[in-house]
Amino acid sequence: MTKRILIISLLLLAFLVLAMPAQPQDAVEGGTLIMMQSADVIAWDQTRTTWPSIRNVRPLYDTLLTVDDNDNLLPFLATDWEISEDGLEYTFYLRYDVMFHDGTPWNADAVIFNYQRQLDDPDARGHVRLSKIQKMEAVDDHTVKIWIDKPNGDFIYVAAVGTDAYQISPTAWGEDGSTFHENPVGTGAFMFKSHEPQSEIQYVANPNYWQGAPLLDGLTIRIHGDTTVRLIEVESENVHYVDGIEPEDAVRLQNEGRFVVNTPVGPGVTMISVNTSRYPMTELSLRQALAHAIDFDAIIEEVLFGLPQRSRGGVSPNSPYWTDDLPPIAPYDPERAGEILDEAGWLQADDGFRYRECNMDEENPPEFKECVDGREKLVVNIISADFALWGLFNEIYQQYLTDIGIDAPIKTAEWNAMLDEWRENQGNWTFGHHSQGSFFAVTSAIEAAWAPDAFWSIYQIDDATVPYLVDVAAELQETFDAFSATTDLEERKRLSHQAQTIFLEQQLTIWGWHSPWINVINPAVEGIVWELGGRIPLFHKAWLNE
Amino acid sequence: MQKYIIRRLLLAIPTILGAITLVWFVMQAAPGDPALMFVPPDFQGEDADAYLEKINEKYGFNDPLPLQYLRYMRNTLQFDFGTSLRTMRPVSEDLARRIPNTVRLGVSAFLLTMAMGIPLGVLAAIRRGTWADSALMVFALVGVSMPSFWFAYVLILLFGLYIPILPPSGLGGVKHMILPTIVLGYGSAGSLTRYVRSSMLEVINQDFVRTARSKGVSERNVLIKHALRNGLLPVVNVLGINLAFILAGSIIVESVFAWPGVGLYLIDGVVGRDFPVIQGACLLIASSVVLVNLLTDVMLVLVDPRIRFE
Repeated sequence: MTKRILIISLLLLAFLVLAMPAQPQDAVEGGTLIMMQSADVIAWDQTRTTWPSIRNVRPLYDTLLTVDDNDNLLPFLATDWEISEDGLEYTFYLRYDVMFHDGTPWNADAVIFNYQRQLDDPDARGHVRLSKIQKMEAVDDHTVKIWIDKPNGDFIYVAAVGTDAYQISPTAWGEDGSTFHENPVGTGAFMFKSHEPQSEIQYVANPNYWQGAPLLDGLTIRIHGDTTVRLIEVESENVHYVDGIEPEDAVRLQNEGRFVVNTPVGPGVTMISVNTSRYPMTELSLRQALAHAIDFDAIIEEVLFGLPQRSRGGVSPNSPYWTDDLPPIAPYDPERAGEILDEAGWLQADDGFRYRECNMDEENPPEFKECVDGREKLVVNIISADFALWGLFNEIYQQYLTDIGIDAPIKTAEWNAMLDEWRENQGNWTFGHHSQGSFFAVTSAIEAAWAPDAFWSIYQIDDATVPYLVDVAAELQETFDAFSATTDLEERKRLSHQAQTIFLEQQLTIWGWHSPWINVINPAVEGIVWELGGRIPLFHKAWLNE
Repeated sequence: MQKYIIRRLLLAIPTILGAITLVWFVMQAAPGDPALMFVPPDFQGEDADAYLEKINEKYGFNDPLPLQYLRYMRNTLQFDFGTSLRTMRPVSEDLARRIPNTVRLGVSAFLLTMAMGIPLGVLAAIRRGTWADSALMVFALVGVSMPSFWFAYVLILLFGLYIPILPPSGLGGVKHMILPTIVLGYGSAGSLTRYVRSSMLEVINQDFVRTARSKGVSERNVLIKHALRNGLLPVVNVLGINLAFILAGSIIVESVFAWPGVGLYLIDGVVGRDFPVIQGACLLIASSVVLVNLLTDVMLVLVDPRIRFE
């Protein structure tokens, strides 16, 4: 009996030793890591957290699950999870050893509180996303069951991994959360110390963190919206980590070798958004000609210093939906572009521009069609904004279009005004540089708002009245609905392939490239763990060698 | 004097009301729907439309413009600037936190303006026509003409990277204040130098200065006791304008140096289409300018007995 107890005790001890978080032998304790971010925390309450804020609040909060680089789900605050066969019932098994920073236990009631609060608040960013929830139940202190209205492949990512899953302390929230921003409380590796709005956030290490106390004493996040200043701060070694750096600077720093420069490509795509609802962009031949007219490889090499990856079908190379088994992308071939336009009747005149014979006798002439002396000029109206390099890219496209005889005036608007005009399909724009991203690759069959009824639609097909485009829109909507409804990855791959194929065959947009998320790190920093494809750094295992 | 101040304060009210009304109308006319800022990019059509409708309803963006304007004026007159559309924090709370930072920077820049502008202007006047005068005028012209954001970046590069002795950005102690103070103060100092010079030149040729000299008063005393005292009277006016200029200039300087004051708050509000933030910050800046002008007028009366409270 005694021997058995001894053996069990030894095994238990061995298990505990193995289970303890391993620290590298050269890891150094202490010090405060300083990172610099482009934007301040919008809100400490996760229901209003936006993408630029996530890196700032992430040290404070944990989620139920996390994902690896390929978006495979991994345990985190929940040790395990189950989804019923009909896809309607989700069960999460929670860790026993997690406490909020205020000393209160994290349990099933806290999980339900965090969802319920978003369901009750119509302003919460997760309100609509989580409204699929029909019922929640704390089976016991560490088991939560959630029922949703219909099967949804994205739900577990939204509810268990994204910002909607951030766990805040019900005690710290109090009645209405009115003072929560003064001392936000989560379960994360770092605890809130202070916040000087638009300037600095200070965290201290959480000694009771469930993954083991961080090696660092603290973490400071400084805020500056300007890329140049952030770069100077890291180069002058005032800060240890910056991101959102321009490709030109990233390449220079890479060559100098003084800093660690990472350039992971995350979910998201840069493209030319074409307005398929507006004449003459309703014509497939014109869209095909435009795709041949622009040399994206040259832009990637000359303007972006070779860092981005050329897009194949609108999904990034590390997405589970990336495939090469797609119709070919149009190679840069201005002669072929000219031939396509010639075949469509757009002939180059002495002034270098293309014209086509026309009349306005048809029953419902398209809006914006202008016939002058029996001919119309081929005009592609570009919408642009002074945002990052968007203006430059649009000017480059304009030159390419002019080279094949297309008149391509650019209208530059203030950022929000441009977004309004683009999203609301106002004015006469038919073409414009654009980029969109997403939280996870796995939830995006195409890494932009590709559903015909998408709010931030990249191609306005929902407004199209031309019969063949109406049919295309219906087919894509059906694909999107099926994609959303299934949790079967193989089926999702098939549907994504279908959507990518339709986009390329119909040239509904012109895919450009997948941009890297550039971060620059002082070599004194080690042990950063990356989340969401290298876009979010976690510092609970990081240390400073200096 | 009390009557004069009360009358001026009453006159300031329509000015401030006019300013906040103008800000409101400009924001209404500006492109960009504030409700759109609430909509996450992954929303689909119906979800987003429903969400947008809720936002519009809650914040009254759908109400007729006159109604929105009346509501805005009523709240503003009660010093209720509303809550930020993005952070949900009361604007007055945010402003209260930022005012000390802007005042700190503004006062130090104002002191630098005076410390540079007055002696350099006097020096240029008494050395009129010499190389020193020309050099000082070039120095002043550069200060007036140079865009502050460009000057800020030059200083950041120079003292943040190449000779790294000063922090390039952020809020902190005296060291953090040096670069933004120089940028903000130099532009005002340039114009003050030029003004002091011309004012002094005017005074130096006056009869009372000639009389003082003929009485055998030392040149130093002629300059300080007679010329400077009179020459600085019109400068009080310019100082008021300079203070207003510094307040407005802080918007750019605070942004470049990430100095969390009212200017940076305003810029952040503009970028985020955060109407209550923009309106609150503009009201504060407009009121400050009106107040500074009032103080300038009172000071003028106090230092120049020839001006009466009328």
